[in-house]
Amino acid sequence: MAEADTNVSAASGAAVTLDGRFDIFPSSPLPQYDSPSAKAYLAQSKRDADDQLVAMLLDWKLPPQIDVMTTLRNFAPTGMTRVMEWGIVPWAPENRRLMVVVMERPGGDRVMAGPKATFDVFDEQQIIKGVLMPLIPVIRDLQARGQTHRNIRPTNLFFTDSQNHNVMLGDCFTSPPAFHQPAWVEPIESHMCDPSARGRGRLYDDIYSLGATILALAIGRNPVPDADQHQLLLNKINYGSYAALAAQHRVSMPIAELLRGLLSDDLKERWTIREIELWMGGRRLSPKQPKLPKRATRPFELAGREYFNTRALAVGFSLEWRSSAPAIRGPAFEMWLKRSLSEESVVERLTKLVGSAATKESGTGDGERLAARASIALDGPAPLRFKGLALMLDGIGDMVATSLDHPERRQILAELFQARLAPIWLAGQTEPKSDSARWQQAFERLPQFISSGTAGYGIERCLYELNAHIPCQSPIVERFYVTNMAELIWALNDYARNPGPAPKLVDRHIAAFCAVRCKQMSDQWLRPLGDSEQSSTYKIGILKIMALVQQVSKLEQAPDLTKVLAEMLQPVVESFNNLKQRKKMHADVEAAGKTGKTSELLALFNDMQVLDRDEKAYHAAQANYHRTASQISLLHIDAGNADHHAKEMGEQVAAIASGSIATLIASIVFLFYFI
Amino acid sequence: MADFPAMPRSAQSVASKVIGGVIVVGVCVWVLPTVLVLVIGMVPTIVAFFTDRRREKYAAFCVGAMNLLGVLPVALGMWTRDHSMDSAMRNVTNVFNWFMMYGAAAIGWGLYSITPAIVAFVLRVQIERRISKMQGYQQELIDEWGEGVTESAKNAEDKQAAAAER
Repeated sequence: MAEADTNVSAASGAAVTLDGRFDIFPSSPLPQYDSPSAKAYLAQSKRDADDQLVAMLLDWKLPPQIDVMTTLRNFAPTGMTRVMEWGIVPWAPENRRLMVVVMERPGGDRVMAGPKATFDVFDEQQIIKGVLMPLIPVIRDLQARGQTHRNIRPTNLFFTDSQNHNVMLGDCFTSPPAFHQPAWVEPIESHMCDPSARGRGRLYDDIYSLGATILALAIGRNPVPDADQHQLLLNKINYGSYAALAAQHRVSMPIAELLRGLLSDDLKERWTIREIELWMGGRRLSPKQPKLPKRATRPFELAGREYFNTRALAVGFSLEWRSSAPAIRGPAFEMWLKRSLSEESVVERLTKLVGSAATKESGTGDGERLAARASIALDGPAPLRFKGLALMLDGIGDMVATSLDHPERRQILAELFQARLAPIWLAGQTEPKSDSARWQQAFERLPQFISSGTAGYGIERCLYELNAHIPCQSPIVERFYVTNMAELIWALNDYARNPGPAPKLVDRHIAAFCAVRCKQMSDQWLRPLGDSEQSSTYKIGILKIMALVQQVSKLEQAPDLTKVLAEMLQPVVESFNNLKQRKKMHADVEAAGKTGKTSELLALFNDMQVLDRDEKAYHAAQANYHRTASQISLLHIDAGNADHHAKEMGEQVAAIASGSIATLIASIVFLFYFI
Repeated sequence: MADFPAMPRSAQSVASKVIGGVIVVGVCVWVLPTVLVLVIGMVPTIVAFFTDRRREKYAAFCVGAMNLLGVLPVALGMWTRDHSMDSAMRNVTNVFNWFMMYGAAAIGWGLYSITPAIVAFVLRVQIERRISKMQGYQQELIDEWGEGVTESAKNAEDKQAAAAER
């Protein structure tokens, strides 16, 4: 990744430079290369002006596919746009920094201009030479690098030249995997998913998408332009994908054979790259009948719909999640499985996964969890489904990212994490997943984060835990595309220049972002954020976080941020009861606020006992004041009685004085007379 | 020799009073001029004795000491020159002696009268000094801790709780 430029506002219209090697021209959009999540602009190499390049500006709200882009560096096959460089640049038209990817510009136009556009039909030879020959190496190389494309669709295919002979794949890194894939090009499991949570998938998914794309190329249009998504899914399940997509279209026998292999719903039956290459070589295989799910002798009725197989019924349970619990608990369901379907294995799995939950109703949310568990038992490879959401575990991060602006979805996701369904889903998989241990571990932690309402936890924490590369989504710093601690300090310093009347330096996003990306930050740093924002512990907690982040960022100076922190801490200083200490602290804080180092400020507040000691001393002073006031009152009473005391004492004093004077003078007189 | 019966205790007392009285009378007769001067010169003391209602008789003591001092030179003059009734009469009729004897008594009265006021003044000054010192200490507390220190601990806690609620 190219080193980020830390300016936000480059001159509007002027070219921005990426990594000193590529110029990007904001005034020269190339809308024909736009992807649904990224705008395309003209880019030019500084070394080779003849390079035909395009810069894709990514949506800052979506997680950038850094892993994919890293994989695609030095990617050899020519059947896909080559990634040249990526990085964060200042983008004046939007007054923010954005992630940009510079890639090779396809030589020709987009094959299919829009979802319902028509184009010239590809014949068998065109499909072999112009489509499969360039695309198969791409899929093979991606597999070798442990990646998938997940963006294979007719609208993401480009001609490589103006003769429209060969095609190449468009990007697969401007959005989460399969995010913009129409459901018809996705295999059944992915079709069921929410588009944002389809996950990286496997080679089989790319093969299926390739099959659906070839079908579209063979007929010159979308094979199911007006299909209802749900009905299309049920058709795929009940009749097989080939029948659902291709049965109503006329294609040549060889192409039909290819499509049957590519669109097979049984992974064991779906063609591999080897089989495609054999087909391209002219070897023809006997057409296989699609393997359909076992059909029941009589349907199971749910919410007025009839279902004939377990997979379709699982779809029904997830669709009717509000009302499916009584049906699952009822005797008719088990009887249907045993008698009409004779699926003893499913009954066993159901008993194992649903267990005693089916027989009792213990509280709110049990019905939804029961429907989710039953769906897993009926259809293991299907995505995890809960309260209308359907997701693959490796797509959960993307789903959280795209759900931030949807409170209802956020709530459902929170409930999903707390329901601890991921381990059950993993246990329900008939085929072991290679990364199941990783996901099991990740999902064990999510309920703890969700259950805490404090800043630094919640759905925001899940977002950053699940998305290693997403920039900080805080409204305070989002325009700076913050990806690490140094950028965070820099962005906060910029925010601090004009922070408004009540600056809030650490919101829920920033706290969660720091908790995940700053390895030195443990839970104890987040604890003060649970206190009232007016409290001293909260403010000192903010200061501690900022000081740690600045230390980690190795940025020596953050003058505006330090100044705002110093102002924020004034009420803490005011809470010192001792006026001398308060005055000294005011001066010290003001001086530290000018150093630009938050650690200098922290040094003044590091000893939390100071405030306690001050409080105790203050109470002691109050007690002394009131004790003294009591003594003064007593003395005033004494003063009132002084005349009485003085009279008594005065008479004694007068007598003693009189006696003493008389004795003295008498002695003198005696001496005078007798000596 | 026959034993005489012992005298009763009251008889002894009467006898000793009689003997004492005879001796006093004898002495008085012997120093009659001095007694005359003393009786006439010490009239203010006698008056003070009877007008002072306090048990301790501070007024009588105070006036008496000074009065005696005024009488003493007259008595000494008689003892050293002419201790006779004539001399006594001359002295008690001498205006200067009257002035000296009664003036001294008046000084005693004056002393008795003004000393309580002086003592009261001293006491008040002492109390005021102590009050002033304590108020100074309170001011030091205010200077160090602010006006809040004058509030009672309970008031302060109530204020803090109200602020926290806001």
